[in-house]
Amino acid sequence: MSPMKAFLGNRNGCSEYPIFCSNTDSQSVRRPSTTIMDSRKKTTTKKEASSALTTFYLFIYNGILTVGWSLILYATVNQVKTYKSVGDLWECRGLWKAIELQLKVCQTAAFLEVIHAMFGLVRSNPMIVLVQIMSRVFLVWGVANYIPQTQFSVGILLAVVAWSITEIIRYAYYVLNLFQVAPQILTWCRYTFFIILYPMGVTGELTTIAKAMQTIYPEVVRNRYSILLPNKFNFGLDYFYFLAVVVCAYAYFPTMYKHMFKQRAKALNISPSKK
Amino acid sequence: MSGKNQGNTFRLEVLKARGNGALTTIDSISADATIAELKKRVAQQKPELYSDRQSYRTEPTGKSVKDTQKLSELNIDKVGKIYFKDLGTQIGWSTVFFAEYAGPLFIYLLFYIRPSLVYGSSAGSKPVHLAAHLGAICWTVHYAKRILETIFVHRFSHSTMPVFNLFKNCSYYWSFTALVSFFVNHPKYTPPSFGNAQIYLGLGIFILNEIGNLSIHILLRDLRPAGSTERRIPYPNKINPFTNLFHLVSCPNYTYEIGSWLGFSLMTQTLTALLFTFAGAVQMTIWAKQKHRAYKKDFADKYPKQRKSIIPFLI
Repeated sequence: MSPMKAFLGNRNGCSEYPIFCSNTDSQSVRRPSTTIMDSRKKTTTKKEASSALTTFYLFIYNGILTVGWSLILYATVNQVKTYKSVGDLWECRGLWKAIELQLKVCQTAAFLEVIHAMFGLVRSNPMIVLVQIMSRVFLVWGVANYIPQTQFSVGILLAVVAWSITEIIRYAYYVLNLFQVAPQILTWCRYTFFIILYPMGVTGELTTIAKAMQTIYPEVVRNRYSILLPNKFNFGLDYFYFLAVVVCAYAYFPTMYKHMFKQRAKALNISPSKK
Repeated sequence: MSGKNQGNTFRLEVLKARGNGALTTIDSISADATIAELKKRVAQQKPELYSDRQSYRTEPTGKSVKDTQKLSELNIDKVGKIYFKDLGTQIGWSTVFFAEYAGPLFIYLLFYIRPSLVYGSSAGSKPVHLAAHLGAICWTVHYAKRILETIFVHRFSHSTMPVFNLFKNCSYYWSFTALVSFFVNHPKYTPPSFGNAQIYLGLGIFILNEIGNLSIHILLRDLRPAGSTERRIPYPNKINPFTNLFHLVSCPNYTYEIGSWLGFSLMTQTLTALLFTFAGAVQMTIWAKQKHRAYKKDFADKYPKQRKSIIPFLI
């Protein structure tokens, strides 16, 4: 079996791209020390040339994203260093401006991973990847970018810190894995940091959405952000209630969190921990 | 009550496929008994595990065996063991279908008949547009037709499905019903841009596709002999021109269904109706492709080559 060939678990249950944290590498189930990430549906009959090209492409892609998220984290930390009081921290002035472009690029670029999954460059279920990216992209474009007041919220800080640490580890892991040199410590980080980062990120996201809802609650403001009737498509969307529905979707969090612990146990070969 | 030919009985351990240990042991069962009979025996010993809930395999992981197979054919009498899987609480297909279709009927008409309940008291006195009336009629006809088909037309190849499906399917149907109905019956409804021409064109498309869909259901019912689960290749019949779509696709019933909803969307010019159409089309395309693959596998060279699964010439 070519070392480039994956043996990831079934498509249905596992994804390697959970809502917001590095995890669920079901391939690491059996052999944590030799996990292979890059995988293709195609068999070893595929020409060597394409597999080298794929590897090269994934190296570039994952490499760029590792760097991108590092820049975001760096800019975030620098910005936070300028805050002098709790009030400053709560408001997060200047944070969004400092990271806006990189964040938009990195987070939106993640859609490529759906394409990778669809074409078998990586073995994940494209649907699951899509759903997980959507939640982050929604926060960036549908909340922070759309309703500017939310850019001044500590929620953004929490979310971005959690995302960036997670993504740096994740993408770095992928890069190293392409060449089978991912150190065990990195795997450990990948499957352990989520314990703090996942709830932290969700808290950040929900806080940001709460700020958004608070901002657009008054009718005057609400109408500016909503689609109003009448119109020729007979479609209306009250953005406040739309955000409320999005909040309800976070009810999935406990299930996902528990699922990650199970994945962790499998990946690190330990008996399942409680929680 | 498996009174057997003596030399032929054996002791069977029913083991759990997932997890350890035995579910139960059958002291004496005939090697000629079928899986169906085994299910009955197990249900006697474990009354909460009615037959439809039981599934058996010869190995802990692997495909389930059919009800009609004999234990001897599967070598179970030599091995003395069989693996059991609990399929979970089952619910009859008819039950599911009724719940799925009664909901949309009720919910859609709620918005239509009692708008003041949803849109506020002033909504009750506003005039209702022709498109909204026709929308309510079409919606009702569609789901009433489905309910009647469930009673009189369809034959199901499994008698039950897992109860989780009920929840999932009802959420889908009921939510979309609310989304469509809310906007079509809204006091601020905007009639279609091309007026009555568009309304009647949409209506016509809807009606033709409903007839088409019904025609295919009837043909499929007649294809399968009563009480059997035998499969045959469906072909157009000489009587009903709507069945000619079988020349081009394996699942014309789904094709017609998409057509109906396109007609409905055109008639009402409502975005959520179009979204509903699209969602249904995606799901039906998945099913059609599965069915098409199954047909080609079962019938191989005998299966008509020019057929696509759901969209003529395309998919």
